[in-house]
Amino acid sequence: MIWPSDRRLALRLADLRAMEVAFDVDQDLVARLRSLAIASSADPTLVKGRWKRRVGAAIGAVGVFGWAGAAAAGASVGLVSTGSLPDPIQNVVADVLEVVNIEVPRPVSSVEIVPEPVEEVPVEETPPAEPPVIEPTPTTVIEPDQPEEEPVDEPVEEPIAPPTTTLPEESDEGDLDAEESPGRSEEAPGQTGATPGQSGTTPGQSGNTPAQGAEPPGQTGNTPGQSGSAPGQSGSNGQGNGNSDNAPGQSDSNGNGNSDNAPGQTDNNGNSDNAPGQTDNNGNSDNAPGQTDNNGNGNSQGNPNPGTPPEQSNGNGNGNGQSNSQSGNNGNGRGVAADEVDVTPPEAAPATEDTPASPNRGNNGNRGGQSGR
Amino acid sequence: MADRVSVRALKRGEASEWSKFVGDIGPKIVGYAHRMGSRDPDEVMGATLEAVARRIGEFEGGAGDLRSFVFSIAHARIVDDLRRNTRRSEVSIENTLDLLEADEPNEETFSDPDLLAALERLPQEQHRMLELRYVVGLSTRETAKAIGKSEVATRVALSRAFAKLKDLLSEELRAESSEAEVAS
Repeated sequence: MIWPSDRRLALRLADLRAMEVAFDVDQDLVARLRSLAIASSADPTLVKGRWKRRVGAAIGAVGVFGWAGAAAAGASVGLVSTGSLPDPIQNVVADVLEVVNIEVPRPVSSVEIVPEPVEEVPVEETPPAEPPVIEPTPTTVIEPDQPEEEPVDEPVEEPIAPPTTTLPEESDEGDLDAEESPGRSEEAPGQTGATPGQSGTTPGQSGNTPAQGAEPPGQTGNTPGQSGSAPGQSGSNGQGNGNSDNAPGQSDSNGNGNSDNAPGQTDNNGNSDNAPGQTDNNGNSDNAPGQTDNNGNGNSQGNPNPGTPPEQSNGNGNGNGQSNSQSGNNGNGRGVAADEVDVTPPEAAPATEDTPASPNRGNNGNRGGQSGR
Repeated sequence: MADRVSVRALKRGEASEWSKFVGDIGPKIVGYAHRMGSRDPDEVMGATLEAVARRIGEFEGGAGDLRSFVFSIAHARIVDDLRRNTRRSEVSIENTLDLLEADEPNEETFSDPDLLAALERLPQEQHRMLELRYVVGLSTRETAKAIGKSEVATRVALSRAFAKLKDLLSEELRAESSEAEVAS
């Protein structure tokens, strides 16, 4: 008896291979296997590696819109954090994120600017003794004589008086006073109201509100209806835009305009240089001595009525009034003393008489109720 | 031999390589399936080669790895075939006759009936490992890959299976000798 050894047993197991009968290879089977192998090998050439397939699947699972949304969100966050969005959007986003205690920069323009309170200057009541002096000069009588559109060429060609023009004769003292107390008239230079120069229903007051011409220098403009008029001239426009050159005796009531006025004219423009004897109702102006500087947002028309005595003024709130006054309601300008205005030579009236047809020249802007009656 | 088969050529679908591969590995699959008890080794061989061709693109390795890959698939097919046959309750008469005729022992198929009988008595896992390692001729590493175990565990399992087979053959030999003594 021969006990099977390991080597012999291994050989016996190997001999079992003889049971494997060789067979002819089926070419159909081979062709089918070939096609399967080619199809199988095609996919791995496109996407190699397991990780690539997984990453591709993850990216595909998110989707195009998902990635687009994520990109948009990221870009928005970046823009918001840097404050690069437009101001309204930035402000809205800042408001929303502020709820969740996330602070993002706000646009600079969104910072609330607290307006400084305007100091109300008490209106000084005009003594009732003055009204009899006022003679009504309805504008209906004046306006037909002087259509607004009719251009006046004469004053245009006149040399423009520089800002530093001083009145040669009458305003020598006024020049000194103007520099000492710029923009006030009468008691208080540049003030109107109780003093001559007020316009409105009350002599010397303008608009419905009695002329608050007694504002300190540099604070007019916020109070409508201020007017400051030289004798026979007035004009304070609110927000009109225009450029005009006025003939003598005319009033220029432009809000934001630039004008050069001839002597005896009233300039109610934004920036102007007035000749001596003119009234300047502008924001920033340098007035010659004896001039009246009426700055503000009021609208007023000059009243060329020569019969209107001085110290009368007709001012409007936001309209166009007529005023005949000698008052200075200065905003940010340098006016002259009202007493100088009071002493404004009556040449202003003849100046308006020279051009009686154009007393209201340059009244661009908002027409309101007329006053100065 | 499968060693000479180029895996890259198989991936490219070269006809000559596939013919050589089928002619080399086909009979081994059939014999393995037959010895493992499959009722239809040719079907197992065809299904195995088809599965290999479908997955050859994902396969990475050399020729030895390819053999392990092939027999792992073949084993899965054999197991499926055995389960399908055990569940088959109704068999036509013609198929039954074919099966009986196919299972009929002959000298070519069962040259070592004692050894085959001993293998049949082994657990299927040990039978499978011995088949792959000694009959098919895979290395220990390839066998480990084919059965899905580590090389060390496969080596230990092969050693135990081989010892078990020896015991079985010794018992049969002892029984035969005792019968011979009794008969004499």
